[in-house]
Amino acid sequence: MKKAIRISLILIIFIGCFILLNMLLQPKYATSLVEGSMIAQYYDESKDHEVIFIGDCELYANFSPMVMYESAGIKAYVRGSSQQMIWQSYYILKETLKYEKPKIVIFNINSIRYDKQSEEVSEAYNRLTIDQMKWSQEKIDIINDSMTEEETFLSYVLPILRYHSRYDKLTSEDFEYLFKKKHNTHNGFLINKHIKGVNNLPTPKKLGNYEFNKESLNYLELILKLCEENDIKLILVKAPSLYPHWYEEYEQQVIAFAEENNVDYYNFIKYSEEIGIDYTTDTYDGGLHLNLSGATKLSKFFANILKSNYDLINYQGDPIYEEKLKIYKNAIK
Amino acid sequence: MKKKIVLSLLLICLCSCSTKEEVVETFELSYQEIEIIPGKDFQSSALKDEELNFMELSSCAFDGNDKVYTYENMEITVSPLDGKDIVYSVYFLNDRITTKEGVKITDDKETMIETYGENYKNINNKYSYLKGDVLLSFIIENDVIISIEYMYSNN
Amino acid sequence: MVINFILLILSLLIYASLGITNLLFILFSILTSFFAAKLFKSKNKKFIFIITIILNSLVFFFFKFMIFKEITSFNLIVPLGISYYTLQIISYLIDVYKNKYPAEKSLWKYMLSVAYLPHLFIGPIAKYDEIKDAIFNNRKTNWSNFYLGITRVFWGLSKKLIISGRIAIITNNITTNNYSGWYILLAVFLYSIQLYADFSGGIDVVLGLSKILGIDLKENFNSPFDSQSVKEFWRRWHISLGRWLKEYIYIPLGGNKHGTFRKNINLLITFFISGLWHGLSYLLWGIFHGIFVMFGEKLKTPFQIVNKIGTFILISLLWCFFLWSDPFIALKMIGSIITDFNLMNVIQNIFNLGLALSDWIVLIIFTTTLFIIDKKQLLIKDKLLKIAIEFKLIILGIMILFILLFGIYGIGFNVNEFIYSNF
Repeated sequence: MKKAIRISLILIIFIGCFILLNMLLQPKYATSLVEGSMIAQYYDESKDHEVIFIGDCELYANFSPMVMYESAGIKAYVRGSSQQMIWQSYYILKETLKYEKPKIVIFNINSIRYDKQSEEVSEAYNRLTIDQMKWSQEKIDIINDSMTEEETFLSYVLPILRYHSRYDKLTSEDFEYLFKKKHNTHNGFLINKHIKGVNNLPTPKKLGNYEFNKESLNYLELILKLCEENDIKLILVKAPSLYPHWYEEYEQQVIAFAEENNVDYYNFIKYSEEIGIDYTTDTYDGGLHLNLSGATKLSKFFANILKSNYDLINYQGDPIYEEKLKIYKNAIK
Repeated sequence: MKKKIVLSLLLICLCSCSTKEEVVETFELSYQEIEIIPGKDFQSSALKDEELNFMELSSCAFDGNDKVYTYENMEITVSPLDGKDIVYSVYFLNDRITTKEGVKITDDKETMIETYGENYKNINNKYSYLKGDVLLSFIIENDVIISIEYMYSNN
Repeated sequence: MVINFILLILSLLIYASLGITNLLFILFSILTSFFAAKLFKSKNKKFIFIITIILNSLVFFFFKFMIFKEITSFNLIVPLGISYYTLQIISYLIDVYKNKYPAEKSLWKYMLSVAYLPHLFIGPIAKYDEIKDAIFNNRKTNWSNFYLGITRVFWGLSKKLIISGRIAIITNNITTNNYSGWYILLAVFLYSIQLYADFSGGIDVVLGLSKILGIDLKENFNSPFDSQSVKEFWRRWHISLGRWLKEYIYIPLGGNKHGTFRKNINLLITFFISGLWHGLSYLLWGIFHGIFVMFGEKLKTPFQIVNKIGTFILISLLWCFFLWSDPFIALKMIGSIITDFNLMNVIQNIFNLGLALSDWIVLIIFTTTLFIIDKKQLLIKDKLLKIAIEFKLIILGIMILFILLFGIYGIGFNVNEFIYSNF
């Protein structure tokens, strides 16, 4: 009997060590590559947003929910992640809808240009989006739909299989955030105050075919369907990032889709003058993302559109959001 | 007799061992007498006088920027690989520049096939030839070449 | 009985799943040798014997040297393990022909002994009477064997994934990126350890799996780096191949019975065939080994340690033929060690070859452990059995954690299959 207890104890200790090792070796995305922790920061939020953004980095760098709250009382959250592909956006929306039913979902249409064969699809970006998702049917689906050829499902279940070689790269961050998360976004918005204006842009390369891939279009339809089923208004946006170049051929296809399906579409590249974006000072990396100054201008502009055209409640004065706003103001100082 | 056996054994052995050293060929081109080979490192200083524009392109989240050098007739994208800056792509900007084999934008599809053969992959009107680890792609519209690009392909 | 049957079916299924031509060729070899041996009682004994040997050897040579591809331009993939099972089949034919033991009556027993999956890809090359005894007569399945087997499997995997995988990063880097001089020396020394960890690790997995099934296979290594001469090395390294060559090539040629000159010729032929078995580009490697076996004893000094180091250096230098598939490039590389003295450069650059300091530390610790365990094998086996079950579990657990943590596998690492299963 005693022997049986001893054996079980040893087994439990080993399983414990194994789990701990898995947690320790997995990147924490707390102080470096913070883009990897964005998807999970949502879980700790109160789930009463009226507006949810889904899409790639053109969202989390360009749209600041706290600015939208301050200027129009909108409760919004950005569920964005780096190079979030359209199939990933679909599952992230699906997951979000398990927690709450917003009035409006805003999808950044940029990622529709990519398909599963695009060279932009990479294991590293998959990890940033998926690693910290909570386990659910959506996580299983997003893994299966996103994996590149070299990846295995098991390595998402047991991160040690992917990250074991980090044993000599562990930093204090890995221990500090072993059991807790670091919140470095403000309702999904990542502050970047750096200024690097647009000097030149690479020549837009000609493509053999400008038509969106059928599979990617199918995911857009799935996103639309999901919204319709849940009585949510879908809005498509194209953030005012200047590259990768947004071709006119793309624009026409999105307009056609929007008209056909009665969806509103805002291409903010066209509004950039009206918004007042100065590309020599309002981006932090030469045109790929807006910086704090650019994002503030864009968010105010968009908040105005949302306030005047859609039926949203003005939450100004909400104690929780006032507190959040204070923290935000502190952070942007 | 025995010595003959040993000798002939050694001979067989030596003959069977002689194989040639293989050199992998790739597409390459030269510009102002400077060799530009996708996948190899790039000396931007050699073409400094020709440079019209230079910009660094960021990528989402990850470090390591691509650099784009614009010259009168082409644009070269340089990417970091294993600590070195290598030529990732060479994109022709007009018909004043030809490939090493003499094909330029505005030439017709026939010229491309005559020069590079039938062994291409056509995805969405983009005809690509692979040689070593370099992909040479032509985009064809109405049987005319409208775009030429060299690209390093390491898989 | 039932379990053996399952073993046979499983072996064939897994083997066939790796390519159906695999199955066709092994069945050809099994059936021809099985029925030929049965006919050895008839009048045409000699004729049948020679034809079957030639037939099986031809299939082997055709694949080995791509003759199929040359004459038919039809690219058939070399059946996996053909180098290993062909030798087993030839030894069976010769033994039965010489009446060392009777021909096997049961086809399925014969089939299992050849196609027994664990030893099919990497050896050890078995003799029929021994493997038959091991599988059918002396089978002992019990908890002790199970435990010894499973620890050995994980030990083999550790060698492969932690040691060999790590060194492979450096040796691949040095061989593919135009290094020369003392980098080459570093590469051949490391390759010696890599190949040993890889090959003996593979054998550990084979012997471990067999042990779990209660099957005792012969050891293939016996601390080869303890050898004091090349001759001794061949009694400690790839023992099953050495024994096969001795019994079926060297001794039939006359061995050492006809004077020193004949003996040397016989040695040279034997090692020539050993090189040939590995492949055309290994012929020089085989011949050099033959030469060092002939004259190596004369180089011995009274100091054991000097002999051991000398033998290690010699053997390591000869692995150059494994590192570079072109023998002339290999020789050129070895030559550069003398012409290009860049030791300081190697030392300065040691952490830029693919392994960081931490990897070197892991490598050194595990390699040292490997050599210590090698020396105390029997003692360790004995101890492993005597300790309490709790400690047994702890040892297994630590091994698994170490492999998971320090193994070279997954994205970012590119580990090939076991090196020696390609022969």
